Amino acid sequence: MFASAILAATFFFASGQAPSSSLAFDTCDAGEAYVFSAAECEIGIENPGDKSVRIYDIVGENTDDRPGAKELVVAPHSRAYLKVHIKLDHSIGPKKHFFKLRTDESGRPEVRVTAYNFGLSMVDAKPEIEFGVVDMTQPRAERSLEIESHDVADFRAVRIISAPAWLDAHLSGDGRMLTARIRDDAPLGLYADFIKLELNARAQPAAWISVAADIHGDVVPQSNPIVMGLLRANSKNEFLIPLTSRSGKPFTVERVTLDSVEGDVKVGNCIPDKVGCKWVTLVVSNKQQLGTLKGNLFVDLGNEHKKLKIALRGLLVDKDFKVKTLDPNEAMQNSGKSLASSSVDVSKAIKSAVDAAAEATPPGHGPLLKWTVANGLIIHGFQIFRSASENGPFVLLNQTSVHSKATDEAAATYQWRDDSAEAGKEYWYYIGIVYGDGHKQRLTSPQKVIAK
Amino acid sequence: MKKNFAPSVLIAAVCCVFAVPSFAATCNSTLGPITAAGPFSGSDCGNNLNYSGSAALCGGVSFSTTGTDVWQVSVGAAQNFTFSVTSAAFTPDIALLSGSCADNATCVNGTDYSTGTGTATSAAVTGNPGGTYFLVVTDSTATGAQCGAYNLTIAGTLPVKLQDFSVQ
Repeated sequence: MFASAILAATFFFASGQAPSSSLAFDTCDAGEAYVFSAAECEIGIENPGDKSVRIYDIVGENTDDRPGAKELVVAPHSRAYLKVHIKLDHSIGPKKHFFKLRTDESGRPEVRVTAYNFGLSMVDAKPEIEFGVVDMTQPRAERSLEIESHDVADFRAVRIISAPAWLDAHLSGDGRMLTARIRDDAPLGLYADFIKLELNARAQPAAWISVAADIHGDVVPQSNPIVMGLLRANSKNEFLIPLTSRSGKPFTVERVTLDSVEGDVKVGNCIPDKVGCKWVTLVVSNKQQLGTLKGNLFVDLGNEHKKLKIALRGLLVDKDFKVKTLDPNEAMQNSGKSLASSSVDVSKAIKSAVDAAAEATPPGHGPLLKWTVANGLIIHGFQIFRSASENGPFVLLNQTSVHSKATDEAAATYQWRDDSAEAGKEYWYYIGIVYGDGHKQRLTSPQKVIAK
Repeated sequence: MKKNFAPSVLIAAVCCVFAVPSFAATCNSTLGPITAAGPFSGSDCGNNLNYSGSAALCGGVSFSTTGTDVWQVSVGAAQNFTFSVTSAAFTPDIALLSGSCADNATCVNGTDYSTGTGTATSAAVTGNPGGTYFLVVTDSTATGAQCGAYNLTIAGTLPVKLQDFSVQ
């Protein structure tokens, strides 16, 4: 997936810019690994010059990522390898890990090199509980998530390490069902956090389950989050955020505060004045740090005796920052044939058939699995699961996914042989998908075969 | 006094007020059903140099010393899509930032799949809630980098379809 690439470090520089290195650095791919585990790979470094180059001050930008050596010498006209150890966090899907280093060339240039990994979750279901809008004036339902995995046998959660204060979380006695419910005393507004579980699996000792809710009382903002879009520094970035009472009753605001956003806020009546309606005026300060703006506005509601949290999102750039816009009209004019079209693209169909025919059947005598999938661009890879019976338990057979080979939406055919099967024995197989963002889904129902 | 209205029904007004003039033209619409849009031609040379070498954006996206482009795109809810950048001039690196990410998420929607062959493709964004995204196009080496012409393509992605499965 992440082909190793030589990143030429012979750069063009405008005057006054940082010195460059003559070395060429590969990226490296640590491959698939379970979240919270560790992985490693080697970054190739090519020295095309006539002098040795010493590399030093090698550090991971993330403190948990470590280089295998503190310094390295690359001989002239040769190649050296820097091993890097990376620590996976809770993130599933592709992730970059950056390392910085310096060389002893002229100007002591600093170089940033990259290692990749693909984080897999052992939990079969997408590790999230999404409550959506929760109306606190109505009875609240529980939400559940099955803590199951076909990757290993006897998988279960051991305990809840922590959960956000605004919900009650409960693990079933067998550790295979997580249930959550928004608490009666939960604050109002948009909340997203994690329920952290300890697992009994050595390869993945923990799982973080994302939980999110938009908790509504009587008074609600007209949208949450407030998406401010692109803000330019040293401009008057002012927003009006309407608050309305769903019951149409008057309400009071005791205090408004900002978190992680520099600015001023004040509360006033709506114009025209209306019962059950107020405006919060937010002015983002010129002291706000450039970059992604990600903060919150807290509104203390007197009547409800609760805080309302309104998320603020935007991108703050300087006055001269250039942003290009994809024009929808141009996009539509330029678009090719709709992918939703039911008509058949003959050339793609032929390509698919030729590809399938051309692929050699894997050698061996075990059961041969063959599957064809269209629209596979969003797939990272496929997992093969096997059981002795239709209802399981199923166990993952391939430690590394069968990578998707889709380059467009045309159908692609895959083959995989199970050489570990015993002749004469009955097996059930199914295929699972790992999507590009790391979440998993069952692709097929189980199929039976007697191994030859 | 400039007033900006935050509610979603007035979001077009928000972006129009903040935007540079060229931005205003697209305030009222999102990309329609994405099919295979583009390619859009661009060149990042000389753009946004003030940010070079810094990880100025959430998620640690760095900026090339010789030029970085940022594209803004509004996408309708529940559309699946990927972005691809192809260049003969530099080794592209792209990152997709959400304008409305949750508290427990980074704002980057997906690390790109950098092939190192002049093409970078974003991880597919699936089942997205819609809204504004910012696509950063830069060189993958960040601290001292090339720039140049590139083509940007958006591809919509349909749900995966199983056509055949057999075990023999």
